[in-house]
Amino acid sequence: MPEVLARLLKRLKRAVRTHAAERELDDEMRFHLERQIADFIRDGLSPEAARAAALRAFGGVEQSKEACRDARGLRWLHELRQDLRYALRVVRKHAGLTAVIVVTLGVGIGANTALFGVVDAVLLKPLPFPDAQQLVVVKERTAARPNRAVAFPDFLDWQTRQQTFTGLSASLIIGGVLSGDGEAERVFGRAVTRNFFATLGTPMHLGRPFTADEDQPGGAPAIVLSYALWQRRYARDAGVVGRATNYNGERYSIVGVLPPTFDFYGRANANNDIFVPLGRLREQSFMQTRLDHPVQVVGRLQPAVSLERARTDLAGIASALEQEHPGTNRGVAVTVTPLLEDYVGDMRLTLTVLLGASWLLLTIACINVANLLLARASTRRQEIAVRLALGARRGRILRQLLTESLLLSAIGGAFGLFLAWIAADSLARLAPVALPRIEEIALDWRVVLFGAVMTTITGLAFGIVPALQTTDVELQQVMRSTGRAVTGRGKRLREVLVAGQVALCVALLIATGLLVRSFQRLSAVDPGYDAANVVSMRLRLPDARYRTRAQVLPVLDALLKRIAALPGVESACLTTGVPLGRRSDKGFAVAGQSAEPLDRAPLALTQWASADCHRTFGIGLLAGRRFTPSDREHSAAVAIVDDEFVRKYLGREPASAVGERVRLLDEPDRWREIVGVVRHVRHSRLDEESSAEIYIPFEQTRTDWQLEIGRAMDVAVRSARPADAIVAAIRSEIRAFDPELPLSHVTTLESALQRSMAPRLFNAVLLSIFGTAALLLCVVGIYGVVSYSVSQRTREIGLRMTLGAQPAEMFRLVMSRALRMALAGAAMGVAAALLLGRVLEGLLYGVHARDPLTFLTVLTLLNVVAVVAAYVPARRAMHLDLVSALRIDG
Amino acid sequence: MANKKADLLQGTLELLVLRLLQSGEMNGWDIMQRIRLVSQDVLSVTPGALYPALHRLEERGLVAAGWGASDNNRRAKFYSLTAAGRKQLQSGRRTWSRFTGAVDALLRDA
Repeated sequence: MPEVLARLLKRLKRAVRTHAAERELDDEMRFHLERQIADFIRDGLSPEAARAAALRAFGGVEQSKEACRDARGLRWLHELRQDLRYALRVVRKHAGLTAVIVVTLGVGIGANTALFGVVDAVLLKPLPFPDAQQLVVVKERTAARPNRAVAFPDFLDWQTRQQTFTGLSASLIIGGVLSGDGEAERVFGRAVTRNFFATLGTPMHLGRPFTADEDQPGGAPAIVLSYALWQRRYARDAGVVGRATNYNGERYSIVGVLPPTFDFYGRANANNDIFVPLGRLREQSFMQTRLDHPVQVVGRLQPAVSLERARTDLAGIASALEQEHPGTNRGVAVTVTPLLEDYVGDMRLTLTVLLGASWLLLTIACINVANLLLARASTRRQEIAVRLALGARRGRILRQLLTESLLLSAIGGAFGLFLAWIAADSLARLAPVALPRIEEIALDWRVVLFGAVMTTITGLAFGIVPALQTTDVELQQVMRSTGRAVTGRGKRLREVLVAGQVALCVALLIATGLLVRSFQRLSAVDPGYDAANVVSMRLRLPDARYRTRAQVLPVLDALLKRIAALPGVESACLTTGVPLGRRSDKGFAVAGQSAEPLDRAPLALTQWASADCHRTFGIGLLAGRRFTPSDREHSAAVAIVDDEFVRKYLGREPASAVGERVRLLDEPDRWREIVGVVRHVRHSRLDEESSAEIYIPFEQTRTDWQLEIGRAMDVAVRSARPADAIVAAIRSEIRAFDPELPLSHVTTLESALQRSMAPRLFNAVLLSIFGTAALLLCVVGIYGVVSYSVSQRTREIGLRMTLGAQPAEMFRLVMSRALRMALAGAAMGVAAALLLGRVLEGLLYGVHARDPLTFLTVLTLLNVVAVVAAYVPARRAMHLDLVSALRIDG
Repeated sequence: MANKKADLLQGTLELLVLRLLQSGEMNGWDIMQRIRLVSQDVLSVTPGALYPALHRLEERGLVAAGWGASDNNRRAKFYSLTAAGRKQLQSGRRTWSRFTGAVDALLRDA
């Protein structure tokens, strides 16, 4: 083995030093010849005669050298050097052509590589857990709600009965305030079962995970910190473990610190600051019933257990639970999804489409380059024919031509990599809202390798056709047509290629058009509220100092009054959910209708809000009245619903809904009179499915919820003052009131709206860039082919015009050829777009995949472009100088 | 004369070269002369066969090469036997005598 290695090393060393090897070979042969010559001279020959005799006796110095190179396996290297040197000469000689090719390829390869970088970061890189592919998310599914979190008792049953997991863990998102050992700080995190970290496979950076004693009601309060929090709040003090901190007014002892790599649903996701045991909440009612679905379940499959087996396993348990608890679990099935899949969500489709688009672009670029090389090929055939006639092997010449195209693609690839490097940087900066995990993007060896592979494939792809075309020559024919390049089949091929290019371009442009129109449609959607001039933030009253309702409610009231009185504030309100923020859905019943059982009752988005909420968000009143300050705790119970609610559940006009009565199922004995109907609001996203809405005066919240809800209210303010100024004013007002009240989720409603549209904007912008590039390449392609064919047919056109053809006729002749090419391509492109439409459908909004307007626009655009591209050469045909045209001859 | 010359059997040239190098390092020219001399002009080797053979041997690690001064004081490439070459020579010799012995026996008694 080491011998083989040594030989390999030697060969490598020699390969690097071929130059030296060649010289040694020369020297060795020369020495031999000189000895021979000296011998012959000693035998009495004249020096000249001796030299000739020596060469004769040697019998082919070059052949011997070649045989020596063969013996060392150096021949290919020698030929490669020859080819490369030749290719370099060609590339340098045609600098303009080279530049065009390099830029074209650079754009194609760059787009591809950058996008692969994104795909790699988002979809391919494993999550930062050991054997991350074993991690799955388990959810419950009913016909009405296909994707819901899990009832805690169900989770416990799964945990004890399952046979395919090494661990099933549950968690729920929590938030609160850290205090007592520094400034009060708003933190978010999770309450987790004690096997949560073990299931993920995350070891503690410091300390330990939770114990069984801590993970139960009444257990000693313990808390685990994220690395970032530890760094920021405790300056990475290793002595922090064992110390105590105040979380929501209770003393927790810090038992562990997570490693820096820990990342559960994204570092951008804030719910990673702190972790506490879930078991302490077990006795709460929402953890006891199978009707509430509070927890997210993550499990680790046993090694070698397939997703399918785990699904079967859990499906069996779910159907057993249906039998055991028919009242709550009938129709409740289970879904098992890989964690990464759940994490990146529908980005897979988006990225697939974008990657596909970048492939189309690269193919178009390849066709362009192939066409340029074909054009040159026809002028080079003579040279090739001569070499073939002199005995060169066809394979040898093919290889040389391919070396040339690989060299071009290598330069183009290097340029592309440079472009990708720039692009990756801007993508990472522009796209974090649109793409989860985008911060992982890096041009590491995988991406570079991908770029290199693409470059090689590209070089072969655009090189092979011209190379075959060039070397496939009828010697006699070529040699006979002295000086004139041969066209014929080459031209035909080029036209077909351009038509194909047009087809790809049309398909790409239609996809672009559909996505751009989707974005336009989405931007035009009326969200139901007026996003301009609204800022919002979440207030958190620390539990330690706000223990009772009597402490919380007056404070909120006073704060709201002070904020509303700030200069420039038109109106201000407190609510449990600003648009595009959190939401809570509650079951309800309508008076006079038969009540559905709890688990099947319809849900409505339910908001608890103060009096001015509808005015602050600019939500239009359709009938009745808004809340007023006189809707107090003990006044008549009222509610406001939206028109969606009236239409769906009351089946009548908004105006006549006033006076009807509804109640939340959580408030069994409290019927509320509908006093107003407001416009429907798209609460979560502009493209969401509509869900009806109920608003309830905050002071009429169920008494036992008031404390919990009141400690974390959203403050919203409508003001024409700049957002920064008004936020600063509110901040200082709150500071003055209580310096330890932490604020979070500070945003303007407008920027929240933009963030919610970011993924679609990302798609539309990226595809627009690809589409524009493709269109430009197409222009170059059409122009190139038409202009080349005009220059090839100069003589024919000149002859025809001498014989009486009108210039306009010649113009038409050239144009019609160009348009035929474009139309043939466009037809294929439309067919392709119709086929691809089904893939795109999931990304469209408000536009059909066969939207006639988009198709028509693209076709018109393309034809205009084709006409423009063909116009210049066609005019050249028209204004031909007859004398010189006819003189051209070879 | 021509009919007295024998073509070398495949692989024989390499064996001969190894044998010649056993007595010390030599350059290509010397090896050629030595073969002619020792075989009394029966065996003749062309440079076109010898040099590729030498390079093949070097490639296989059976001989090593270096540059030195020739007897007429010119820079020449000298080949010498490596340990692997020595081993190869021994086994080559054995194979050769088995082979020629067998052929002899057949020619005698068949």
